[in-house]
Amino acid sequence: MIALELLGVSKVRGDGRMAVRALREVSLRVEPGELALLEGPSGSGKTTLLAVAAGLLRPDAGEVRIGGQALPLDDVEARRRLRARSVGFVFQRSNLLPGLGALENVLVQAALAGIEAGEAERRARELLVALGVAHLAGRLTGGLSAGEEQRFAVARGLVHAPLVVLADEPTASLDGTAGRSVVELLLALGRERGAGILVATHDHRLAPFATRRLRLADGHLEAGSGAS
Amino acid sequence: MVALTAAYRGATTGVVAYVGQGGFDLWVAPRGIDNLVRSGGQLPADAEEAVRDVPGVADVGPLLRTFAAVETGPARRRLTLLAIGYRGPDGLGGPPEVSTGRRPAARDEIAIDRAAAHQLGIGPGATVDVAGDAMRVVGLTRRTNLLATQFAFGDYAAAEDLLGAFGRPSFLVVRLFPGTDAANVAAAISARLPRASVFRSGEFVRNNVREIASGVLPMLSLVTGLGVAVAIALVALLAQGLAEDRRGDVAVLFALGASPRAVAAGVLAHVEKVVLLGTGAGVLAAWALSLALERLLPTVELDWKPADLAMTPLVFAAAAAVAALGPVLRLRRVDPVEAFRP
Repeated sequence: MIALELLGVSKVRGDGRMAVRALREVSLRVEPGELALLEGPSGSGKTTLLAVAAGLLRPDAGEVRIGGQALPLDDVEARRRLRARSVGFVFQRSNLLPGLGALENVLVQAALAGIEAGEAERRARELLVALGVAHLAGRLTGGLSAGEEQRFAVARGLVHAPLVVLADEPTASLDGTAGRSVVELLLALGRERGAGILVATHDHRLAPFATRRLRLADGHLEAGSGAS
Repeated sequence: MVALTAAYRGATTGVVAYVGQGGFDLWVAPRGIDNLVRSGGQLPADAEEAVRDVPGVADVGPLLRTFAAVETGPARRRLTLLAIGYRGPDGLGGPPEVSTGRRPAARDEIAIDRAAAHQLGIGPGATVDVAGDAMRVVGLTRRTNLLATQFAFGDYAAAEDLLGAFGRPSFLVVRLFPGTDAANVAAAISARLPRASVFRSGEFVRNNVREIASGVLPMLSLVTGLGVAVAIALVALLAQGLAEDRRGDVAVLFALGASPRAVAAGVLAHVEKVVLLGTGAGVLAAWALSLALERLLPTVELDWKPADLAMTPLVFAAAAAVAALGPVLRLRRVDPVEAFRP
């Protein structure tokens, strides 16, 4: 089963004279346990591609499949449910919710995926141990460093055992060591759980972790960049 | 809001605490006089005996009421008080509550409202000059502050000297035997004293509230009303700000797969939580303020009621919900792709 598959996806952002062809007939696949890097300059369409892959944006043409199931393009509610169950996110900043505890932030995703509370907490704590932040579970998010916050964000992205994890510049707000550590853990824990991981990044230091490197330019996946 | 409401009530209850106290079943006043606050004239000399003989009357207390200038100290601090002469220390018509000291028991003793004592800078044991007579303050009373003036209580005979109204009281307060029909007794008194007016206690209280309301209370109501309106407006603005402030979090929640309905409920709950926590802190602050005022500025009396504590959070919660509704509905349209923005 393929974790994520895009087939001939095109997307125009904006209206009228401001319209930009953000994606042009993009096709790619991410296998379970794989870490695919999506590289390209700013404005090349990386974020749009992630948003389309997650079902946050409706493509103008083409098809998106998660775990072999086509995203229902005309049913917002069905896309939301599929996203809650099958997609994990790691954003550039941790985007943890302020006012909630660090562990609670992880549990939010599990609750949205419909995982029973006891099972969710067990899974969350297991991930936090693996990520080395179990001792910080009771803290409020404001009391954590950027690196610690991003580890909780990784736990949130994996707690519901998603088929695919979409990460947008996950190391951008971290120093080299912390960034490397977060990606290593994301890859290891994602592999353990059979998730396909698609990372949009400018960070060339992540190349050694990638099983494939995809290069996006002006909405096109460049030939020979490892696209399927 | 809690403090303003308590201050408003403190002023209004100060008005009625004296005339409405227990044991005052009927008030007998000179004809044409229907309240204590703004009144004049005396009853006939035989009025007390005439009332005492009416079946059903358990006790009668004659009162003399006048405004008296009270002076004290080398600087001759001066205050004009509403003086009540009654047959002390335990006769009908004494102060409703003595907070410090005792009731007056001799001709040269008086008890004055504690706010008046604060303004004069005196306490129990002080000597004051009342219309040229030296009198000793033996007690401080509570719930006897009319804001514009305060009560003083003294010996009936001393008040007779002050007014030169020997044997002719300003009012009679009447206590009835339990189970007595007050209307029948009032009619019997009216028949015996055609030049007097007789009031049931509740009616007399209402008359006094009306008199005060025509003076001080409108201004106090206005201030309290404005204060409450400003408080509600501030809460509403806070609620709007809190809701708008969650835009980034809402985008993240939508991206993670939260439904618009759940997010709206969550934001509303967050707003209500913050507002109610703030209200709780405000209630505590108001309580601390009332303790401070009690010690430092007894002129302002805060009269708390449990209903205020319940009503204030309810009003603020409702204001917050209404104010947050617009922003919350707008948040439902937040683009989840915003979650990707750094």
